[in-house]
Amino acid sequence: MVNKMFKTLLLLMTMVISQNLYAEKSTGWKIPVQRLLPAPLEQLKIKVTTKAEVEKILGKPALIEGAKYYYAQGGFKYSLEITFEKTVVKEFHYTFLTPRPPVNPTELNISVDKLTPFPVSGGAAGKYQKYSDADGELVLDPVGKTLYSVRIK
Amino acid sequence: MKYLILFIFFYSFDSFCHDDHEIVATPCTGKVLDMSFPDIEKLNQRLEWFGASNLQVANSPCKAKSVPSSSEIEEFIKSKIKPDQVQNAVVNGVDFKGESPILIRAFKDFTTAKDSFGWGLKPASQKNFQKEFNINPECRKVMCAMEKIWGKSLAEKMLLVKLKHNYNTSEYAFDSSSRFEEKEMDDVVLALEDLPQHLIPLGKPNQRLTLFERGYTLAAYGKDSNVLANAVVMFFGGWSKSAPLKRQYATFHEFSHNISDFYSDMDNSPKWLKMSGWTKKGDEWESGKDACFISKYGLTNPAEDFAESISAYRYGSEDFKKSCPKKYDFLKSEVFKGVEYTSLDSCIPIPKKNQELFFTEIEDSLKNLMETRLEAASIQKSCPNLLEVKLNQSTIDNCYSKILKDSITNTNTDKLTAALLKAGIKKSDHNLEMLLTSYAEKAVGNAELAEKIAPHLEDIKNKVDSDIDKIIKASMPDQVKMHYDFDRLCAQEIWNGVVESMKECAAKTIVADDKKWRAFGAGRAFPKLNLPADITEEAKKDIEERRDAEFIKQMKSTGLLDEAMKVTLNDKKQVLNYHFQMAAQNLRSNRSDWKSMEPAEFCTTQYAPSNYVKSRLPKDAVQIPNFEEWCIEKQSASRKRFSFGNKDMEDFLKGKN
Repeated sequence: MVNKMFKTLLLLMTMVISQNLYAEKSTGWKIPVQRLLPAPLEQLKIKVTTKAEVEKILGKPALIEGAKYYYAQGGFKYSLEITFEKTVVKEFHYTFLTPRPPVNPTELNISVDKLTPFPVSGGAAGKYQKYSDADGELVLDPVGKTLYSVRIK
Repeated sequence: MKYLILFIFFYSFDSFCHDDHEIVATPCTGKVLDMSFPDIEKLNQRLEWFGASNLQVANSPCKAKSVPSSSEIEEFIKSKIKPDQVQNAVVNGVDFKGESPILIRAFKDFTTAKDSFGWGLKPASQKNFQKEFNINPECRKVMCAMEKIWGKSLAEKMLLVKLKHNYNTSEYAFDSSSRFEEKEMDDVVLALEDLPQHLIPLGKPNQRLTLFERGYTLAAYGKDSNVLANAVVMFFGGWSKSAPLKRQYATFHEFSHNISDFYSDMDNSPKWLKMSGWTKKGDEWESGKDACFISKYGLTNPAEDFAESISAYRYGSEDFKKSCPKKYDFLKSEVFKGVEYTSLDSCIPIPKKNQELFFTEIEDSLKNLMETRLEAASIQKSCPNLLEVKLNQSTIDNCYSKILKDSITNTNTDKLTAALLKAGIKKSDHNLEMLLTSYAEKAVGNAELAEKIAPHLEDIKNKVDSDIDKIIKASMPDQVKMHYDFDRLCAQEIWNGVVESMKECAAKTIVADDKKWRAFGAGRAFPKLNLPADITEEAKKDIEERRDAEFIKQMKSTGLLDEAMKVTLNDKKQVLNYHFQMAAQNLRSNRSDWKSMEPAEFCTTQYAPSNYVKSRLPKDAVQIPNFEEWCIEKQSASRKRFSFGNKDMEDFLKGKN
């Protein structure tokens, strides 16, 4: 009985520790990455910024599909995708244009071991490396050592 | 703690999975692409997975055919170091004295453990190379130390790749790496040699270019992955198991991604994206409706589109230029700076003036060689896989230039070296091969020389034909089993009773049946054709057709089918005879007035309906030779109707023989 209780306790402790680690990592990259975003995007706040505010900051989108706004940048369609929930920003995805910001996973508080090749759909081997957690996703260019895209939730 | 350990254990298990799949030549073929445009579906049906076939890679102009020799590499390394700049240093346990800082730097890069992408150091994996390989005191120089670790040949090639192209091929430098085998390294070097001069060095400083841990692949690719390599650059099991030319293509494909990096991510530039109307929504890419792609792999996203287009430009130039001229022109000006791979003349990296000087220097030797007829042995030696290129005239020309090159190299080494030096051209096998190929190519177009070359090309063609004949003979069935449906398929010929045409039909039936079964992997009649693995489908089909025609010819001229045809004919006669008798009996029992019928009515009633043989004939067969006419003629001679006896039938059939 005591042994069983001890094991359960241990399991709970492990879960708590893992969650803590996860929590630490999940918040680790957001601040350094936000600094790398173009200035207008720094103003976007998840679950806070409204559609009207987005249009005020970024102007009218190039394309609207359902709850998503798409913005083109320098001929690149579309470097920015904003997803709304009701009237506020739920998440946004931004693809950096060249020259892209140089990054080091350590400075972004992410582990190189957690990177996976991306995109691998349709038989592609993945030119980039992706990191995902509850806060969003980062796609890194491991050869150029730059940040390719970011999804912030 | 137990759960924590288990958690870590399972996590680490998920990171890499065992790669025990069987590799196919075209990875991932058959995977459904997540694209909904009807045009894409059509393209998917038409395109191959890769932008160039092995044969195209082998025959592409200016293709490096052999890796630089040891002396060439040594010469290159010497050209990179400055003799007056030396230093002493201890690198990962190894003590170097009076060595070039460039070589010490290279050794440090080769032996310092880093993470998979070279972002940071991996102290836990760091080896002490002195302890591991006992390098000092015997060796105080980098080359000597590297020979102790990797062996002379691999060490030289690693240094060539590092100092010339920036790529680090050491398995000790990056996480989850294995050592290249000699042949694998050769394919990496050959792919690098295929880069145009202005893209050298292509790699980022100290960029990874290693074989992933043997027997493993990345978990993201899945257990049954056919992924050969990625742009990091990592090569996987599928790459190792592929044919050399496929390895070279896949390697060049990965370099093509690096070419995009070389040009500040050209694969993401608005100019490139516009070429195929690529748009990005979040992480998903979509191409435009009228986009032109050279391969299925290129359909996946703009980066693969770019890499495949670059690879096709290099190895499948003619097809690419024809299929996607806009993309071709874009890459010609933006990436290749005018260098084309449509002919040797358009890509040979030696100035025209120097080429002409070289040709003048060796003109006599070449002309003399052209006057000597070729022997089968020299063709075999210089062009062992000539069968692969049977249908390709340009490759016969290539073979000739190879023979020419081999002959002249074997007999005139000193003269060639002197000619290269005099013409101001760097001495290398690759340069020599390109120059001699170019000379032979020009000779084909030059009336005086073409006359001299013509018999040689004829010799080569004869040799190919003789090789094919040997293969065909080995693939002939030694006996014909009579399990085919001759009775039905050759009914017309059997009815006609001409043995020759029966035999021809029977032989064709065997061939057609075999073809049907070949579609499922193996025929029933012929042993497998012993053809090279890389032979084109077109050539394979052609050789099979020649074999089939030869088989039909043999069947007609030899006695192999004679007995079978006689038995078939006799069987048929008996069946017919039986049928006629049965028909007559039926008529008599059904019609009491049969004796007073007019001949025409009698014959039609008796033989035309439900005619046994007629019902067995194929629908499009011509009508059976007119029994009715014969019957009417015979019956007209008598006032009363009568049944035909065996003798009457035999007389009729004899008349057909």
